[in-house]
Amino acid sequence: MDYYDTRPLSPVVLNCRNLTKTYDSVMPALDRIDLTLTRGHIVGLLGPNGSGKTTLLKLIAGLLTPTSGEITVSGFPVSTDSKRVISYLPDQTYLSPSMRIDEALHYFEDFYTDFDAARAYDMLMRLSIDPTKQMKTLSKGTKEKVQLILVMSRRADLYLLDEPIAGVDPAARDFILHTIVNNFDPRATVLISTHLITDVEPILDEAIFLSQGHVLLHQPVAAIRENEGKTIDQFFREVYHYAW
Amino acid sequence: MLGKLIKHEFAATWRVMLVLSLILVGVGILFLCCFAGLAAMIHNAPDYNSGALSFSVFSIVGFLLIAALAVFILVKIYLIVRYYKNLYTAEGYLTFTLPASTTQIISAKVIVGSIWTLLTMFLLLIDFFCALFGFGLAVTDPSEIATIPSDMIDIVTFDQSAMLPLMITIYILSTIISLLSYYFCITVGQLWRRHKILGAILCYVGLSIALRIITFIQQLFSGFSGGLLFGGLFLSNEEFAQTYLHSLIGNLVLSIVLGVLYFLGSVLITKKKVNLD
Repeated sequence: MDYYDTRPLSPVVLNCRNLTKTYDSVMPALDRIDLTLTRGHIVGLLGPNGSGKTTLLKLIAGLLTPTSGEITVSGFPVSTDSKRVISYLPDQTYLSPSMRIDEALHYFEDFYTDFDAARAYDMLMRLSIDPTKQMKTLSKGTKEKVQLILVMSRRADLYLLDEPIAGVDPAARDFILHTIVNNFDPRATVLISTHLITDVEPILDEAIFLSQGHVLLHQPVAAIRENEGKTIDQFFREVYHYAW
Repeated sequence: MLGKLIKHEFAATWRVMLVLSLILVGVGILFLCCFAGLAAMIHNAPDYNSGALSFSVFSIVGFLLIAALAVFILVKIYLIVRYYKNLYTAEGYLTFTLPASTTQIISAKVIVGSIWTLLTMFLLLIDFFCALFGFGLAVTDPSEIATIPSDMIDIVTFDQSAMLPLMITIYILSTIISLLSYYFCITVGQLWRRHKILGAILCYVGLSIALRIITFIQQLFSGFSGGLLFGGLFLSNEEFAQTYLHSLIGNLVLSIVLGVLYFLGSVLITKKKVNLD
């Protein structure tokens, strides 16, 4: 057991204050975002393409440098400490094509003390994925499954999943959503970015609507349904119909 | 964490490097075989057709030399491409979300890349000695073959001076610094919003020109350029050696300064400025 297993957990897992990210264009990708997420929720980060979802996740993961503002994850500013408690799934394959699956598992086991290799092998076995296969020999869907297995086999505080179900068939979508729910730890929070709302809606506790770099709405899913009398998908279509 | 990064960097690169190193070992063996065959023909068949023989032997030697140099260039390209892909393409999403600092990540790349480059240089040197030894075999009387190694040492350490350790140090340092300069240029190229590889190439060209100018000025100050140009006319051997020593020390200092600048520049730019698309 190391410090990361024994430290006191604050209820707030993510805190963004006045967060702005501007590329070289005039319009900021994110504009003075304030966002707080508490533990124990699956949160949907919803918005059309170009709304700033991926930028927000990359800023939290430490892959982008904010133009201004602050981010803390479990009380840590973005640093090696925050990276230790974040499990990030990008929207593309980040494993080397020449890497074998078992090598990738060993890699994660070596770098992340919270990685549960037995759980990962179990999931691979249930999906009949041969761990000795090289990444380049796998189909797109299988690559996504392998990466999700790696990410969800960690015991992190914050899971950042960028479009985890985009570009895969419905059966793979079901597996991915099932894996997220089955591996969900109530001490952690899962932030899922997607525009495929109908698919993820059943597993969401909270929804964040992003539009043109601003947070339009951040509410529990149950409250949206109750207040608006609509599903999240219906409400999303209504909001973005007016917003765009 | 640095130890783990180094371990995995070796694990990811050893297969390719083993193949390239074996090719260099093979080239060395072929050099020896080629010249040993030539020696046997010269010493055993005095009536050989010297023109045809020379042509075929030197064709083979030329091919082997080109093969050895090609492997050396391939090693450099492999290490540069790996650095770029591992840090600044999709693979960077994994590399930069590891619980390791940017300094540790880049240090691991530099350490492992330097070890592989130095190993390649060492094998190239062995190939060179194999060629030299083989050539000695061919042109030396069989009764004097035992003197070849000492003759070779005389050729390499031309003036038997105490400068050899300094020269070797500079040689090793310049190999590492050359790798660092490539890494630095790739990192600077990432500052471009688009055409990042073009940015890296332009940075390398600009840096090369600037370095040529700095080196020339440094040699002027150490007196070596003048010494080299007019050494035969105005300088005694002792004065020439002294001037050469000053130039080497200047080179060493410049190399260390450049190495530190390249490394710190790569780390700082990556930490503060780089945005993975």
